[in-house]
Amino acid sequence: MNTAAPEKLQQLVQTIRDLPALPEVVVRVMRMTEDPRTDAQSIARVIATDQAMAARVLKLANSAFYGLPRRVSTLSEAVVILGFRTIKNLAIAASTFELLNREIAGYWLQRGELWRHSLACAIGAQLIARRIRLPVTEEAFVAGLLHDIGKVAINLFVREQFDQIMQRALQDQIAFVDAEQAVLGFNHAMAGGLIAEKWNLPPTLVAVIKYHHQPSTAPDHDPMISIVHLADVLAITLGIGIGGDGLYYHFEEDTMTLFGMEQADLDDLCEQIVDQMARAVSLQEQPEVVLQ
Amino acid sequence: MGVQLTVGMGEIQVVRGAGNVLTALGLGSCIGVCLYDPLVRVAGMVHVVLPQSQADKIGELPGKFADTAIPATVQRMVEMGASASRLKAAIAGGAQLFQFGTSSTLDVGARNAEAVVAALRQAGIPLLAKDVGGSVGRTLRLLSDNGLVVVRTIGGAERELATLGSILASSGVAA
Repeated sequence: MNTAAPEKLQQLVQTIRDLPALPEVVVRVMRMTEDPRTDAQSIARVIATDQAMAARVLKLANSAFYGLPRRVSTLSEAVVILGFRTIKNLAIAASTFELLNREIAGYWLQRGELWRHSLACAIGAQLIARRIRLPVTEEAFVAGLLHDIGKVAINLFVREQFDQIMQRALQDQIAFVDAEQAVLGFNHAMAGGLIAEKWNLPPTLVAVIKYHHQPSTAPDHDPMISIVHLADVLAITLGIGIGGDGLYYHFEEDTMTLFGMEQADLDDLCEQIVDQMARAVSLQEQPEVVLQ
Repeated sequence: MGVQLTVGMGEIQVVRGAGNVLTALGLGSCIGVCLYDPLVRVAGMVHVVLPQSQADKIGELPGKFADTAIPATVQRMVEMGASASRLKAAIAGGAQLFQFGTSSTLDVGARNAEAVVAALRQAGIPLLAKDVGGSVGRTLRLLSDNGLVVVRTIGGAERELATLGSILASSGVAA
């Protein structure tokens, strides 16, 4: 494996250091949801201290995605109805929106495209988790949402050398992510892992982000990594938020055996992803009034 | 004043008159189908996601499946004054994950291309040009002025695929 020139690696570390931290609110919510003494009111109060985030959390809670029978208008109601786990995940989703919504020129992704791709992967991961009856569909959603966060960090490096990376992929018949490694000395999965560690995200999320292109190389064979791998493959295949790296992606087909899936299952998943994306909530709109 | 419409996954858009542009962004394995009647300048585009519809799911978005997408688009165009017999087609998309020496079970791109070509043939619409396969994402545009079809490879060059309104455009390439 090629290693990066020291000064380039230094630049990457600096870029990651310059990325915004996870908002204090999310860090607190993550901690609170682990604490059995926490109640819905106190979580709602913490989220409400950040108005923009509160608005997004409510918006996500009211999206067709959760299929609530009626509109939820207050945060504490949302916490009670959706549960701590979901609220925690909504807070993480809401807080990473700004980063993921950026233009990622290195990958030829216009503003909003990486967010769409991330959302499609999140939806796909949740559907796959449900299909294989894993009781962690919420975690799958967040893992899918964050898997490509490293692209934000290595964007400028890729932009400078996109042509060389693509050429290397074609010449050596390797995936784009491996060509990133060959040309730059690092890749977006590794960079994403560093961001996840900086944010003190749970170990499963760090592993998913780091190994989502090659679940088989992960030291721990957490099924969540394979779930996100497959969801990523489906989102890319569907062209949702597809960039200049196109479909130069290595699909570990053992994933299908692992999940006992066949072609028809993948078609079915694709269709559901498309349906849910059509109903997906737009976070770009003006935040609505938030009542605690 | 013309309009610029984006054709999302499974959607059908039909416009009439000059100055309109239809665009399908980010085609991976999906196929963007351009249909055009040069005489009345009715242009249609559909963003096909999967080859085959299942009996229980037809209805909401006929544009999602190749077999229902083509008839539904033709019908919408006829309602706008087009004649089915004058329609010409061009398609783009149908990409696949890059093959790293192993055969892939995820061949939805190829199946989509096959199904769209078959549906066009069944509808008797000549397919004048196609840009399908490979492992690149594509953006497809159809101009209602003259049926000009432009394909851009994401991260790559843009090229004119066909002019569906050209008087020379009479026979198909692959139909």
